[in-house]
Amino acid sequence: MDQQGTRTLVIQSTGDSPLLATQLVDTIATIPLVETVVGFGPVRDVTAAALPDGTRVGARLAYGVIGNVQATPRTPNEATVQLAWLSMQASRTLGLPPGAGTIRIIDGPEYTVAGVVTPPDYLQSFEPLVVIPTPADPHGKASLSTIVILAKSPEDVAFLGKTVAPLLSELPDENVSLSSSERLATLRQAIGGELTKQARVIVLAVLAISTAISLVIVWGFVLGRRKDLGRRRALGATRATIIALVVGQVALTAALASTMGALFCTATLSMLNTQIPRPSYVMAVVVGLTATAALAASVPATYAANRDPLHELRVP
Amino acid sequence: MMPSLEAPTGGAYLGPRVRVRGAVFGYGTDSPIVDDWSAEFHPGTVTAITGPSGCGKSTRLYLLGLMVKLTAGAVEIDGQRVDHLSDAARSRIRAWRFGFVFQDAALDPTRSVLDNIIEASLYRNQSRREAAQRARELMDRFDIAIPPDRRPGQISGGQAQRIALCRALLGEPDILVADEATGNLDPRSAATVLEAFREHAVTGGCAIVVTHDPTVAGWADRRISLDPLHEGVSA
Ligand SMILES: Nc1ncnc2c1ncn2[C@@H]1O[C@H](COP(=O)(O)OP(=O)(O)O)[C@@H](O)[C@H]1O
Ligand SMILES: [Mg+2]
Repeated sequence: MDQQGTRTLVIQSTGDSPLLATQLVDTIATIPLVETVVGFGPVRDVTAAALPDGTRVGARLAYGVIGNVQATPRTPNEATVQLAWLSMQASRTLGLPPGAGTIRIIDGPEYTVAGVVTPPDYLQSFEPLVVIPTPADPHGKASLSTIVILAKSPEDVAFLGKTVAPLLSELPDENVSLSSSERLATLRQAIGGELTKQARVIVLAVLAISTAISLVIVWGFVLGRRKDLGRRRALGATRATIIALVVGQVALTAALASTMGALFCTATLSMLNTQIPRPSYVMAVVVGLTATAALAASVPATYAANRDPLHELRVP
Repeated sequence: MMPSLEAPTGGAYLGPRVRVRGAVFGYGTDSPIVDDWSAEFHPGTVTAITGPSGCGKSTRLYLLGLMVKLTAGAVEIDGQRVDHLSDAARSRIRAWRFGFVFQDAALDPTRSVLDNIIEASLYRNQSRREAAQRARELMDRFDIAIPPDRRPGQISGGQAQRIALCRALLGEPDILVADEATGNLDPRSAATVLEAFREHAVTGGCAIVVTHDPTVAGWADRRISLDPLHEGVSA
């Protein structure tokens, strides 16, 4: 993970029309903790002007600073000149020479490629990057959907977030989100999601395997105890007593075993300084394994209980 | 299930304690081992069931103990039919009214001698402490001079059978049943077991012994012979 990734704050507006105005970028740029800030409009597809059927790349209106490119037109004049900056990767994808050529928005205007933009680390996820500097929004209008803020230091990100949040108070909550280091968060979310899914699969697999193993072990256990269970039946144990006996013994064993396993795992994890699962999760695993074993035991237990005691008494 | 079946009834009933009427039973698809068998077992009496090996003596004991489902016929206790009751009800009758002594003692090798003796009290929902107290008394009565926490693996065959006898008597059953209970025993242990059965009958109990030993059969009050050559009842 790059260092800059941990210094990023992202404001995102969802929904049909962009909600973030360029003035917000200007305001954020004045905050001392901010190293740089840039706003992007919604993605529009572009092709090389000469190749309308060529490969499409997403272009964004941009306002602010992107690495080497000051995407804030200084003069109204500059804004009227329709210019675009392309990353090397974008030019290659579109089939254009680096920093040159002309692009066209699908069913829209043409832009002259003014130069090469080198996306800094924290904007890598926007590659292939095509930026079209946009002038400041007229009052009451918003053209940006994403604002990416790079803080001067990772320690400042949290505080910066608190500083920026009030600036968004006018905007509808449900359509605007503020998240620190989006790439990191996305990655974490992705890993997290993967882990949860994997953990679920593992837990299910463990339960399935332990059910199968318990079933086999308990079958063996019951078969080995046919004489014992037959004697119990002959001495007056009801079927229910036999089932309760077998299931109870198996459940007790499973509860002891899984509790010991859980304690051992927790101890190992804490020695490795790894995150220890919540106690409720550990409890759930113990209860789950015990219930699984009891469930597995109930099948042979019922079988054992329903055999005639004399058959079992005759087992040598 | 009538509660009267779980405890000895007092006074009024004068018929046989256990009666079998026209019982038919066979294992699987084989022709029946027990075919139209009728018999009576009275209180105050030791009845011996005799016959050659394989003629169905043990099977008849299991039948009396309500452990099998008859193809036809009925088993009555104190004049009430019980063989068609639910499994739970038949189990309770076994727990409360029968005491069994099996051929090989059939002790649980994993548990102590004391636990073996009090096992069936669990099925009668009796308190463990009371049962343990009574178990020690029975151990004294039958001269079992071994520590109660000893495992069955560490005792002699004669001791094991006397322990099985304690287990059978713990619930003060009114029907005491033995399946070749003296077969493998030294004379002294065999005598102890037989004396216990006699004692049970003398005090009004119904004692049933299965045996192929003519001496034991001769000692009983009544004999039910299953030998095809001289089948019948003798007293
Ligand atoms: N579980 C069983 N399945 C099939 N046949 C059995 C079973 N138990 C006993 N038998 C058969 O029933 C017959 C009577 O057995 P049993 O009642 O044990 O005789 P006894 O006690 O007089 O020696 C024997 O021929 C025996 O092989
Ligand atoms: Mg037999």
